[in-house]
Amino acid sequence: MELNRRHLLGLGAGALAASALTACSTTASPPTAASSASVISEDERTKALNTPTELTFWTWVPNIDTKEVAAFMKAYPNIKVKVENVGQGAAHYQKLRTALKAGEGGPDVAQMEFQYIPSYVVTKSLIDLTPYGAASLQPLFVDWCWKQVVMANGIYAIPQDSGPLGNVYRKDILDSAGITTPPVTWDDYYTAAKAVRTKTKSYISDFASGQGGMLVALLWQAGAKPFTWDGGEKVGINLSSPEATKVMQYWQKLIQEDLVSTDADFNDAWYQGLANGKYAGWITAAWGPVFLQGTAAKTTGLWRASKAPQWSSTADASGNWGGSTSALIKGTKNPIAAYELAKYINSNAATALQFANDQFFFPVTKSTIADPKWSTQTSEFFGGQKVNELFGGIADTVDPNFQWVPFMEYVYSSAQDTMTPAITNKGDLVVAMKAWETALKTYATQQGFTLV
Amino acid sequence: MSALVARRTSHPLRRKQIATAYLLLAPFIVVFLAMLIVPLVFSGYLSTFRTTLIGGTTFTGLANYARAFTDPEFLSGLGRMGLFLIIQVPLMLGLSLFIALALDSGRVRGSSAVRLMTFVPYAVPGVVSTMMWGYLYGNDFGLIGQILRALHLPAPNLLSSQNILGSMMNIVTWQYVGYNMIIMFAALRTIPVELFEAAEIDGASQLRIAWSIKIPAIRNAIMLTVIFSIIGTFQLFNEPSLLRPLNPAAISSSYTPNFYAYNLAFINQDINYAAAIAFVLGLFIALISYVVQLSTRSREGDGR
Amino acid sequence: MTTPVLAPPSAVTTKGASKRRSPRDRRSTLLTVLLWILAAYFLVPLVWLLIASTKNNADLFSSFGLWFGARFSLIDNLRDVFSASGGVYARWLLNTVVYAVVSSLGASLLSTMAGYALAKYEFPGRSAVFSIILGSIMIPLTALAIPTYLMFSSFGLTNNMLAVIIPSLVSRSGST
Repeated sequence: MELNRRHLLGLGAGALAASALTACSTTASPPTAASSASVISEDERTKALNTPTELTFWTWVPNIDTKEVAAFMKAYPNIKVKVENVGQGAAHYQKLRTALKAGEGGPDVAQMEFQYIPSYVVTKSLIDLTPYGAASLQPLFVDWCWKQVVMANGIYAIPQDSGPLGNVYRKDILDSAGITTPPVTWDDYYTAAKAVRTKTKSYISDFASGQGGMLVALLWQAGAKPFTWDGGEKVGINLSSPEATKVMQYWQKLIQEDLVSTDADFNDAWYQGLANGKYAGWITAAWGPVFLQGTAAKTTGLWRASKAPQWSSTADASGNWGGSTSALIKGTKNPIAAYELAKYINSNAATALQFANDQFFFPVTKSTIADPKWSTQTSEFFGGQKVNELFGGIADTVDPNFQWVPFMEYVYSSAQDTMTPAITNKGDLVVAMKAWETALKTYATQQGFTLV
Repeated sequence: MSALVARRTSHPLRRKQIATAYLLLAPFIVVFLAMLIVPLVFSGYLSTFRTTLIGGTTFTGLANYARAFTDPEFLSGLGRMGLFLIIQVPLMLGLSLFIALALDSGRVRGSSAVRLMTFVPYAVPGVVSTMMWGYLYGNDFGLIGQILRALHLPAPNLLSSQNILGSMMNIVTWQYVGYNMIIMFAALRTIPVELFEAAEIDGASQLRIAWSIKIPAIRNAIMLTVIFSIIGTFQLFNEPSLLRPLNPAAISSSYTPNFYAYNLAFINQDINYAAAIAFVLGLFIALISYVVQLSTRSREGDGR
Repeated sequence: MTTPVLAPPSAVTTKGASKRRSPRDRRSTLLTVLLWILAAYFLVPLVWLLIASTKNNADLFSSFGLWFGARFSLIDNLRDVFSASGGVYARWLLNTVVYAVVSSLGASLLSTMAGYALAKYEFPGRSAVFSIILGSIMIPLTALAIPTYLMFSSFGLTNNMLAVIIPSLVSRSGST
């Protein structure tokens, strides 16, 4: 379990640290196929909303209590919501697991990153939202995000934000190395990396050694499908596909030629590296810049954002890293009120815009993305660039058919045991990935799954 | 203390004594049973099962224990702690003993101040001191690196895979020398002065007095610190857990057996196997402690 | 005599442990220097910690560790600590005081009574009790954490101070 720091991480975007992209796990049937449970009546809903209730909401999003949740409580004065930050990332999930195991002490609603939803559905820890009318929310959300919350004949969460992958970089450092336009392909990136390394004291970026989330995002962008789950007993694990191998060979080359550093991320030394120019860029998700605005505040105006480098000059694909949802936790005594809370903060146009503008989330509601108040916002940190518009365009190129296995906690932990040493010691990443794959397959079989 | 013979138990005074003893013992035993024995038994019960994501919980008897004894991660963690034990514990206790003897000899100026300063690290919460040392060790910005570079000396990466164990040894030593020193110092203070006054008059040097009189006199206290140190070493948890984010490559999830058990329980959701690991670890600690006690006993013959 | 090896040092009572003579004039410079160097080893990291608490984030990583940074941020840092998450740190401090006082009083009471009984009385089961208590120290807390948690939650005591206080009454703190 990582012990996390405080405010720097509190600067924003939901799912981070150990998060990766979420994969939608759908079966062959279209996303709208949910359970055939009947929807509650309007009377039941009104009754629940007017009964004095107290809800507990576990989330690490900063200021959510004074903003979006406050708006909800204003709209429904009979419902009091207690917002608790029980940790970020891994710590949050551990507490959730422990509370679920004990059968009590857990929240009504919890923040749940996309990639963990299957892991909690398989243990039957999330409540199916179909009986509460969740199917009617589908048109509000971006398709690929909606796909991520539908599985195993149910709808299990309401999307809150996502993390399309892009490239943020220090224009001044790249300029001084002679790179005046951001790299378009990964080959360009390699050339730029060499220029930056030889002509400046910086690295073009840091390939964080312990960051499973970023690894998976890069695989996602390359078109690899490392994980599949059919919602039942069949899982697929493939980390040795040509796409995955291609990605690893590329980064291995950069690491071994000392063109990228391999420092662990999201710790103090790493933040300093971004602030003082040790790293001239970061391949990160739309929520990445929020972190920069905190520690790297003195570099305001020097950064720009661009699309992530592509695998060919004609390609235009991205991956996703992170993104959260709100889910109802089994054992809640007020499912209707809890559902309304999750629904309101994430789908109400005003609160969704608030997430995007005030907390710098990347929106998942079609209304916000189309809203010029969001898309035309310029960023002082990025020297006046319309970053939202850029990332909005990137979001459209995220492959919508990505899945997760229902034991992602183990996947990331295993990545740290297999990939991290290889990255830090500049070893063979393809071999390490094979070891990771083997560990995951062994675990899956031990847990009773059938490998497909 | 004389051992009372069985035939005396029927004596009314004897029965009253036994009743008093039980009464005094009762509150502690009640809480002890509830907080230690019951969870332990439950833990043992859990360790005989296996829970899988698909298939639920099944009874597997001692299968988890068999798995523990052949688990390379667990065994290498044990080995690593064994290495830690034979290097760090003698170093730390040797240092504690040296300081205790030096302070006891009265030859040090400002000895009460030194005593206090040696003990202060123990007052610092373990989590705080580990995190603090994490900063001091930092490759780019840590104090140690700063000082070494200022002196134009090579600054090794103290958090690298090769050095991290040594770095952890330093943290534990820093934290506990004071504690162990105080135990030994208190024991030294109870030695009657006559014992070594005589030796001094006979012309024995301070060193000789320390070696032949003082150290044997506090053998029990030293033994106490040795046992506690053995237990503490094999239960090492804070250091791998808190230092891991700084260099995940250097510290695996099974770096120490205790950390492994924790990760098994909370990350892998495998509390059954975690319980078995914890038990085997406990048994192992008991074994080592017993062996250490036996070997020192047989060397010195019977105790006083 | 059969004093168990692990009896606390004070049990090794000897008659005539008279008070120490006052320090002699023969001070050893070597020992003094050595010991003060060791004292520095123990103290310097804490000095660093104290000075670091007066720095803001940027200074923490750019200034020399044992001297102050460009800005003196101690008040700001303290304010951040006490206002984080709605002032929960003050609550935690208060909780800690309660835990410390109640647990130390309670644990002292229970252990002193039990220790007295074990040391001063002979009764059936004495050595068994002694060995079990000693043996329990050797089981790592990790084995106990989850079962204890499950036990407390079945009584609905998980969000309660008692969940920390009761186990600490028989804690074996003192080892690592």
